[in-house]
Amino acid sequence: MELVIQLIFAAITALIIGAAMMTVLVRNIIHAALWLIASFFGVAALYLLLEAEFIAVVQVLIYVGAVSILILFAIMLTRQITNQGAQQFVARWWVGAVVAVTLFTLVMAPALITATWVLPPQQGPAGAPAVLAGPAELGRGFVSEFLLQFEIAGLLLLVALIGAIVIAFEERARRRRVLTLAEEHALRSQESGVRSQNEPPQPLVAAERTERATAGQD
Amino acid sequence: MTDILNNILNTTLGLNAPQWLVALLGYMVVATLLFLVAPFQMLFFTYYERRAIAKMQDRIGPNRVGPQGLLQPIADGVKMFTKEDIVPTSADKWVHLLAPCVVVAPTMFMFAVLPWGPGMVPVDLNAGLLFFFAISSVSAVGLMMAGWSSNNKFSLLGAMRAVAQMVSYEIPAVLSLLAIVMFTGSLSLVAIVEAQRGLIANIGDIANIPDLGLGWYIFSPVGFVAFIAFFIAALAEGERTPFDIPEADSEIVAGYMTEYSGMKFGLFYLAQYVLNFLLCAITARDLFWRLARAGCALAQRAGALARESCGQRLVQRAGRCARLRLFSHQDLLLFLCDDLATRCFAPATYRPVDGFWLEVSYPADRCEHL
Amino acid sequence: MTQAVPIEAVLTVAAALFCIGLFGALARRNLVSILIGVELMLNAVNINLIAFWRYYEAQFITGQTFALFIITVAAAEAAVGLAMVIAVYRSWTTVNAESVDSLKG
Repeated sequence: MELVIQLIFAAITALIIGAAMMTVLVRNIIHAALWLIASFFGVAALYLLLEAEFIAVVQVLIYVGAVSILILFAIMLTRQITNQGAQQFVARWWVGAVVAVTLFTLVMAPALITATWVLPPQQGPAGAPAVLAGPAELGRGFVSEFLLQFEIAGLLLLVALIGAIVIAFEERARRRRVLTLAEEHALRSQESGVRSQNEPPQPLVAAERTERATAGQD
Repeated sequence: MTDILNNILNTTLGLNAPQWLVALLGYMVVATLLFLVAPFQMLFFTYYERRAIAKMQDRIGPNRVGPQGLLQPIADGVKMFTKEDIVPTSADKWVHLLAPCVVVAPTMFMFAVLPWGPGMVPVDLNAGLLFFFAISSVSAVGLMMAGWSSNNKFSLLGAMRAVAQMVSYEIPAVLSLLAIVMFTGSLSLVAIVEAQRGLIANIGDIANIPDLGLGWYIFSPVGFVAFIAFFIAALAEGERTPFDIPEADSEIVAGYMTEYSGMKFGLFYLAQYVLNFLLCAITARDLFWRLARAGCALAQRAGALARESCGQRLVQRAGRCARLRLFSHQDLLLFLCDDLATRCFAPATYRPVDGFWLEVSYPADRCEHL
Repeated sequence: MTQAVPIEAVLTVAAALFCIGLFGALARRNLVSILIGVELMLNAVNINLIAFWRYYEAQFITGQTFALFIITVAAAEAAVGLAMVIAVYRSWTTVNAESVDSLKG
């Protein structure tokens, strides 16, 4: 039984870490987002193994069902089709690698030196299943002990909702204009002219380009 | 299932298999059964849908293969399997290959928490209802993969429409069922079903008044409103007619499925029909438990479901010892099928009394299973 | 689980995931990639919380509650962050973090 659990744990760990590595290393950003989803799934499986089934379900619902879809939409709304094979890493990417590896070593070194890595002694009578707090207790806690935090979380979500709409909102007049062929042609030549002068393009042009790239979204 | 396997392996064969192995085998057998159920019901849903739509449009529909065209789904299946599998040259091969799997897998996962009868639930998860919707939202990722990897405008547009629709209609679906959850006080589907037995929801039987099945939540005002909201949201999630813009074939060919052919296309169809079936099932379990012979339209749509809950009613009504009136051969057959499955959990003895009645008695210590 | 895998193993997984996320956030140029790195780090934190909850105080709800709040914050962060990415793209036509440098002195 212990061996089975250890094997499952090893498989889940491999999934989490491998998928996370692919997420940060892979060139194509859509592939990165898909690997991220795999990693989220691994984390949900780990929660299931830790017997936190409610958190596992919430992980799938929020991360896999919502956050990753949001990320995929954002990538598709901001993708530059012409610029796909561009460099994905910053020039000094090795600084990031050094920082990450150093942090991992600093955290793990004391643990490797001092920690015992033995299993805790079994509490209570042997074989008795531990009493686990489930969704029912969680729900009761939210309306009694953690009421204030719960309300604040709700407020945060409301603020985030409004904020996201305000930030990403585009005026309808700008967004919905369908360009005629002549306008499109003029826009394209103007763009290439702007590019050759190496200046940042004007905001209005930018808005119209977004519109053309994402027409028919809704 | 675990009990039966335990009996076969350890008692009959004397293999001394460890408990976890027995449990694992039990789950695998259940999973295999469910995986066989899914394509099967999908095949006959397609047939039923085509016939029904044809009737509405004053056509005949498929009627060539087999009696009344009943073997049409089999012919379709053979066609799917033997068609050439085409992958566009500019497609992202791996994502293109994985997308149908990612769409189908969640719908199969959803079977894991669906109760089929008393004691017949693959996993009675504490957060079962939430699990159902969490997993159903995963297939949106698969749709996005399909649309993007095909490298085709129509596919991408269809995928965007489908995903936007799925994500947005999930919220009313979950919120409408939240009313039911608050009624019951539990997220477990088994507990939700249990709460609907008896005369009035959450109260149970009242002495001397016959059980008319009024305990379904749909007969309570909140449940009725929740049913309407959920029905609309479920239509949108299943991409059925008023909400079928993701594959509006006059605008965007076939949406995210445009570049798929052969069995991969079949997998998308499978996912869609299984999802529809599951949505019907969850509606029935949450709102209309024990929908027996009421010729309700929804039950007709989920034909398999109505049949199955008919069997349930007969068994559930049997307390410790009960007499059942069997109305037809069909009833007897269904009851026997159901009982065969239930016996594993509560071994019953039954004997025919005269012509129409059947006496069922259960051992006292196993009665709580019912 | 508690009888088969020591808690240090779970915490190591979380630490590794956090560092991978940190690398992603530091080394990537694309703003969306940076957000992906941040999401990985938040997940690592959640693994820690759930592990401590499971191994040391499984009968209380504090650990799970905390994890739920972090998931809430992560969802809000993703929504606002991605909205900002889209706003940046609209005015700069790029999502490259190095090109958005008008505050440079």
